[in-house]
Amino acid sequence: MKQTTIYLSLVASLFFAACSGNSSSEQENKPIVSQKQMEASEQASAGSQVAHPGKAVYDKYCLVCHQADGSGVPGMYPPLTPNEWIADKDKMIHVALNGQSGEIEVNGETYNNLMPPHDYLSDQELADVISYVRSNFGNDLEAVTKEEVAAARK
Amino acid sequence: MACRTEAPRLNLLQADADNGGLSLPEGFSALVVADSLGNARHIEVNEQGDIYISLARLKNDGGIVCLRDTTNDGRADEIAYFGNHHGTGIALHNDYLYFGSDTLIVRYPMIYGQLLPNEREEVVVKGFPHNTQHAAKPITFDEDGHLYVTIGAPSNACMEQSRTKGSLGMDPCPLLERHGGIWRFQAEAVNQDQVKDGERYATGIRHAVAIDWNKKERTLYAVQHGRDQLNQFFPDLYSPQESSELPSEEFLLVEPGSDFGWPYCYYDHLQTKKVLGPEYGGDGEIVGRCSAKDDPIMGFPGHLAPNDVLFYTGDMFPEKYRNGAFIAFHGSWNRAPEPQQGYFVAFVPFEGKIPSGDWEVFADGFSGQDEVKSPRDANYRPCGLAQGPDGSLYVTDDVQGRVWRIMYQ
Repeated sequence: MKQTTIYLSLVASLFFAACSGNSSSEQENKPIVSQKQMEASEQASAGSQVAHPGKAVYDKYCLVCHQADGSGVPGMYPPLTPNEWIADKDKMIHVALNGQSGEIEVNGETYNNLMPPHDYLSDQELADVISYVRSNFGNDLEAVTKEEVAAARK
Repeated sequence: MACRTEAPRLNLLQADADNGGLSLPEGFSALVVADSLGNARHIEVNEQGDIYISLARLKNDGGIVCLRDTTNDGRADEIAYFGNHHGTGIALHNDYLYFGSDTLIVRYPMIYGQLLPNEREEVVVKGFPHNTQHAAKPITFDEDGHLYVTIGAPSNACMEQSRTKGSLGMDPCPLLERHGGIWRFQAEAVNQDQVKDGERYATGIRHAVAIDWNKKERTLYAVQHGRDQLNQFFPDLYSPQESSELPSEEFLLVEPGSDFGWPYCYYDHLQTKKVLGPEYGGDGEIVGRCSAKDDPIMGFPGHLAPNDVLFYTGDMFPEKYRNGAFIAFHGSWNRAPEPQQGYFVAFVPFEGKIPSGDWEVFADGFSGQDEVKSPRDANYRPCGLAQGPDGSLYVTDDVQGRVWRIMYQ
């Protein structure tokens, strides 16, 4: 079976284009625009006085699953808003480095998904992103140093 | 009540003034059948109007919630929890209530006139792999004595290192042997085993929570949850914007032996073609081996999460809806940093076996938000669909456990 009749919804395309702010030309010139966008966003965060160094790491590696506001995805990915995992510095470093699998409970909700290891990030990047989470999303906890990450990596 | 001399007509039910929070096309209205039922997934309504809903987690020691309206106002006033398993699949077939937990298909005999089934549970199919992702086992039946079960792949794109940046895909993907397809069993046999008794009816389907047997066309349909995170794992090939729009959620016409290409291929509705995935050497345009795979009959924007499909056979709704498909989109989580999308019930008109026009949003407003940035923002997320005996359309929500009945009057 090979069916080639595909119906694209004009209404839907317009709806999504309007919502996402995409123009069709952006979609056509993907590699160039994507590179430019990436540089622009890096510059924006580098040039900003207030941006936490961990935010760029978070946006790149964590945001898709844990969401921009750290609220996670119900039933799939746990929130990074105040909970016992975030409160435990060693646990957080361990999960960021080695990933997580098996059933866990966070704020009374059960999760049983897989988080891949992020040991390919540098000690500094991991310290930054963990510190960023621990000082955002309603958390107000002590930062993590790259030495602490290095010690946990061994 | 005492003064009433004739039975109320179902089509004169009083809808809720706010349609239960939904926005609907002109002439349609809705009422809330029940609230706070638990994580309500799929739904069945029998000829008497009794309602059976699967729950993702046990509530009140039951994984099935049974609803009855004894006062003919459309609202459930008898609510009972039943069964020991939780899951997604549920279907009434030949006087049995079938239930698809994540690892087992069971059934219970229905007792005429009674809301609750008999507790005598029979195992219909066992031996499914235990997955921690895409574990739901949605079910449907044909008229020739077959049960169809979706077995999702516990994987994004069969990467060597699960969900890890830049990891290549396993080739061939060993998961396809037991997962990533739709298996067919005997509807009436008990104690069947996936490997010994199951027939792999179609393959290359990552995870299709939405499946329905179209009785008029005698054909199986499914809607696939497409793969995630193109940009996150292959940032040199995909921008975040492309990654939020791609790949399509594929509407599949499933025939015996169909192969829709997961994990090697995905469908791109902007290019209207199936292309090679980046884990298998694709760059977003290369087709390669995907030219031999089956295309969908429609490609929806990415990540909307189609969780149920229903072919409408009633006569309550206007002509354009008859024999068309309603699809419940649970709503996305991985369109971030773009706003999330979905969280609505869509309609696709059909002519025979294939769509006859564009899809459109039918019921919206589930999230209760102008814009959903994160899934947790959504008040309700549509998950299951059923048609009532009068032609009403029922929709479940698995956040709070609300059930709506949508009518045309």
